[in-house]
Amino acid sequence: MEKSDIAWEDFFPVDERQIERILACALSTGGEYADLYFEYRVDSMIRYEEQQVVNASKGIACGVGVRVVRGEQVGYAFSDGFSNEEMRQAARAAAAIVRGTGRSLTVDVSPRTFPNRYPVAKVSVDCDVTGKLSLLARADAGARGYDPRISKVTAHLTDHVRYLMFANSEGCFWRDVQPMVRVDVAAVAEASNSRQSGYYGGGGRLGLEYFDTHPPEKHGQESARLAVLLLDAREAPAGPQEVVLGSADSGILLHEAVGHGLEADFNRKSLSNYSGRIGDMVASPLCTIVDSGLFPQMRGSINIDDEGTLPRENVLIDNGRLRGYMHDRLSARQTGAAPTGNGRRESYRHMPLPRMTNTYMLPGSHTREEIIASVQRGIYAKRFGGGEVDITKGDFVFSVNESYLIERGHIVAPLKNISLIGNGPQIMTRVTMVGNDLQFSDGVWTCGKQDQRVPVGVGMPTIKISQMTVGGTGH
Amino acid sequence: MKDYRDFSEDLVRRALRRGADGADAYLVQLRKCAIDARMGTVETLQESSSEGVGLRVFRKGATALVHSTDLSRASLDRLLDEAMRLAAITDSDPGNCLPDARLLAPYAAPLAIHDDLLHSFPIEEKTAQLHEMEAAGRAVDGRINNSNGAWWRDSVERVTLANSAGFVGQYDHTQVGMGVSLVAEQNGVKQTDSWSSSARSLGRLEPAEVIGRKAASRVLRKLGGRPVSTQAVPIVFDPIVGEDLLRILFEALNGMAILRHNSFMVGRLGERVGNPLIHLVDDATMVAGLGSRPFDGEGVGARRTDVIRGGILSSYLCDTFTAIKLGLDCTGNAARRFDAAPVVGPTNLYLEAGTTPPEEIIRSVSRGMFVTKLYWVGTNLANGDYSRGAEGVWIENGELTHPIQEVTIAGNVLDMLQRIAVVGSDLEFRGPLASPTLLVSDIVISGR
Repeated sequence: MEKSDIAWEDFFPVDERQIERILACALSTGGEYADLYFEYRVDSMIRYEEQQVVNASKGIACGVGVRVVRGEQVGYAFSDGFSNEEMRQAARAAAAIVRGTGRSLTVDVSPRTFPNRYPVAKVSVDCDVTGKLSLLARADAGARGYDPRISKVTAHLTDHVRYLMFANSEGCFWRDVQPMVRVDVAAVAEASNSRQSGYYGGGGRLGLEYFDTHPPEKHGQESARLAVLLLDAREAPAGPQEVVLGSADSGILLHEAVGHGLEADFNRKSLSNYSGRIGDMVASPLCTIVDSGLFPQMRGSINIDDEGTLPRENVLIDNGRLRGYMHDRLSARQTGAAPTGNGRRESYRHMPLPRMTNTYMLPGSHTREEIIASVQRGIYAKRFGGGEVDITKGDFVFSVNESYLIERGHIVAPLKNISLIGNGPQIMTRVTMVGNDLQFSDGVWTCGKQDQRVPVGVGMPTIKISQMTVGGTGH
Repeated sequence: MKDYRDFSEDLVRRALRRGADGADAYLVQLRKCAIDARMGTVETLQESSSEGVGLRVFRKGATALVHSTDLSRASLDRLLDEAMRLAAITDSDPGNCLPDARLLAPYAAPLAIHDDLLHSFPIEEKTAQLHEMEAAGRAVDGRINNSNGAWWRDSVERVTLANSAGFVGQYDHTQVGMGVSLVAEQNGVKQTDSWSSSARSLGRLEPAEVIGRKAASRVLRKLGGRPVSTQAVPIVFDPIVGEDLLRILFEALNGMAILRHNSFMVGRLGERVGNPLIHLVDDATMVAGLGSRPFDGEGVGARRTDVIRGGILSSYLCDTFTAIKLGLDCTGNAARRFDAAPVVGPTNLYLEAGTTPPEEIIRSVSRGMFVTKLYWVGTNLANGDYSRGAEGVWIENGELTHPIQEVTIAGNVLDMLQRIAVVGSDLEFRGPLASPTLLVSDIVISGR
C-alpha cells in the first residue's frame, strides 16, 4: 500500500487550518516549540492453544498527542478524539508548563517525503482470519511433530498497523504507515520427572508475506527443540568464567547493558557510565557498535523518527572508542549535538525519548568454531529470555534459554537454570574475540524505558568475553 | 466524569441484536497527572484524560473481544460486526460465559478507594512536594552528588461494567504516588537507589521528607558494594523484595497456570506447600487497599480468599473461565483492562505478619545476607526453579556489615517456602502485594 493510496482524512478528520490553530493554542503561553502527533492504531490478535482458537480480538486506539517545549521544560497532553474542543483542551494542558505570551504561525502541510523501508501490499490486520488460523495450525504442527515428548503448544499471531501524521511549529509535516507482524510459539516438553518449556518467535515490519520466507513450522520446531533440549540439560556451574555469546540473540544484552547508557538523556544528566567520555576508549578495540533504523522490514526500523528526524546509521563505539550518543530533538538541543533520528515514542499518549532502533556489533575476523575451540572451560550462551538491567549504569542479570558447557574447546552438554550477571561497559572491555558471523535476531524484542515500550531490533556476531559471572545452582 | 452506564447497557443490547447470546461491556475513564522534576526544576508535566471500551461477545460457547478508544457509534458498530465474525472462527468452550448470576453483586461496605481531595490538589503543591523530597534526600550526605529525579503520579479512574445478565455497576477510584531516585558516588563508582510511596489518598502517602531520606539511606548503603564468594547461607528478605516472592506465588496459584499445567502448585490443593508459619491471603475488601475494588472485571463481588493457611494450600485464584475449567469456585479474581480480555489477577495479596520484629531477625543470623533488591532473571513456573540477581548487605554475627553486589541467588520456590523459618511483624502495604521481613535458611548465593 502506498501512502498516497490512503484516505488519510478517514483516519484524521482535520485540515491544515485546524492544525495551525491547535499549534498556536499550544504556543499561546510562550512555548518555543510545539508538535502534534496523530495516531490511528489497529491491533489484532489470535491465540491458538491446544489446537483450538481460544481468543481472538481486534481493537482501535486513536488520538493526538500535543507537546510544548520551552528551555528544558516539556509539557505533554493528549486527546483520544479529534474534535476541535478535545484537541484544544489537550493543547492548553500541554501549554500549562510555561507562562508567557504566544505567537501565531503558519504550517506548510506539503508532506515531507522519504523512502519507505516497509511497504506492504496489504496490512496484516486487514487480512482474512482463516488464513491466519492456518498459519497458527502449521506452527502448532511443527512443534508437535518435532518430538513425542511435546505435551502442550500455544501459538499467537499478534499484529498491528499505525497510521501516523505529524506537524510541528517549525512547519515540518509528514505521514507514515508502520506495519508489524509477530508470531510466538511456546512448547512444553514432558519426560518422566521433568517439565521444560521452550519459546521461539519472529516477525517484522511487514505483512503476512513474512511467512513466505519464514514458514511457521520452523517457529514451532524451534520452540520444541529448546524445550526438549532442557529435559536432559545439566545444572550450570556458578561463578566467574569465560563466556561465549552466540550470534543474533545476544544483541539484546548489548542493547540493554550498553546501548541504553549511550542514550543522550542519561548522559546529559551525567548518570551513565559513558557520560563525558566521548573520544575515550570505553571498550575493547575489537568492538564497533552501531544503531541504525535503516534496515528494510526490521522490527526496529523507522522511515522517520517520531518527531520528524530521518534515521541514519549512527556509529556509537568505533573500535573501542566512544564516538557519540543517540539523541532526540530535546537532548540534541540541550547538548549542542545534531539529532540522530532516535526520538521515538510508544504512542500518541507518550512523549518522545532517545531510543534505540536496531542496535548491533560489527563482525570481526574469527569463525564461531575458532572462538569455541579457544575456550578451555566455559559457557556458550546462545538464546536469551528476559532479564533486568539498571539501564543507566549497565548492571544486568539475564536468563539464558539455550546454553552449553564448553570443555577443552568442545561443546559437551546443554545447561539449564543459568543466568549471566555483570556490568555492560565492563564486559565490553573484556571482549577478546569477535566472530565474522553477524546476524540479526528475528523480530521479537520490545524495549521498555520510562514506561514506554517500543519495538527494537538487535544483532551480534559470536563474541568471547574473558570473564563473566554465571549464576546457577551447580558448582 | 460522564456517566456511561446507559451507553454500556446499550452496547450490550446491540451485541445481542447481532446474534450474540451473551455480552459484556467494560468501560474505563481515566484522568492522570504526571510530573517529573530533577534538581529542583520541573522537567515534564503531563496531563491527560482518556476513555476506552472493551466489549466481549459470546455465541454458542465461542467468544471474541473488540476494543476502542473511539466511542463513536459508527466505529463501534463496525467493531461489533467484527466481534461477531471473530466469534464465528473461535472454538467453543464451556468456560466461555458470563459469571454465575449469584456472584454478580458489588461489595456493599465502603472501601475507601477514592479521595475527593485529589481532584482539587494544585499542581504547584505537587511540585513543591517533589522539590522537598529531592532536597531532603540530597541533603543527607555529600556523597549523594546527583539525582535521577523525583516523580509524582496521580489518577482518578471510573470503571463501568454492564452485561447481558442484567448487571450494571460503576465505581470511582484514585491512586497517588511519589518517589525519588538518588545517585551517590564513592571512589568513582556510582550507585543508584530510590524510595517511593503509593496510596489511595493524599493523607495516606508517606511525607515527602521521609521518602527523600529513605531513598538517601538506601543508596548510601550500597556504596562500596562487592560480590561475595559462592556459598549457601541464610537469607533475610527485606519486605520490598518479599513482594517478588509474592509475584511468583501469584503466578503459580493463578488458575490459568494450573489449567495449563504450567505451575509447581498443580495437584497440590489441600497439601502442605510450606512451613506452617505461612498464611497467604488475597483480599479485595481491604479498606484503602491498592488492589481493592467492589467487583472484579466480570462483575463478581469482592471477597477475601485464604490461599495458603498454616502452610496448607486451600485455594487457587480464579476468574469465571478458569473456575469452570478446573471445577472450582470463582474467587472473583478477574483483572481487566478495556483493551484486553479478562485475566486472573491478584487483588491485595499478602503474607500475614508474624511476631518477630525485623531487627531481631537480623540479630539472629550469624553469617548471611540481607537482601534489599532483586533483579528479575527467571522462574521456571513448571517446577519452581528460581534465580535472581541480588543486592544487599552482608550479616556477620547479627550485625549488618558491607554491601553486596553482583551476586545471584538460586533455588526452588517450593523448597524456599518450606525453609521460611521466621516471618516478621512488619507487614506494610506499598502496593497490592505485600510481605513482612522473611528469614529463609540455606540459599545458594553465586558470586565470585
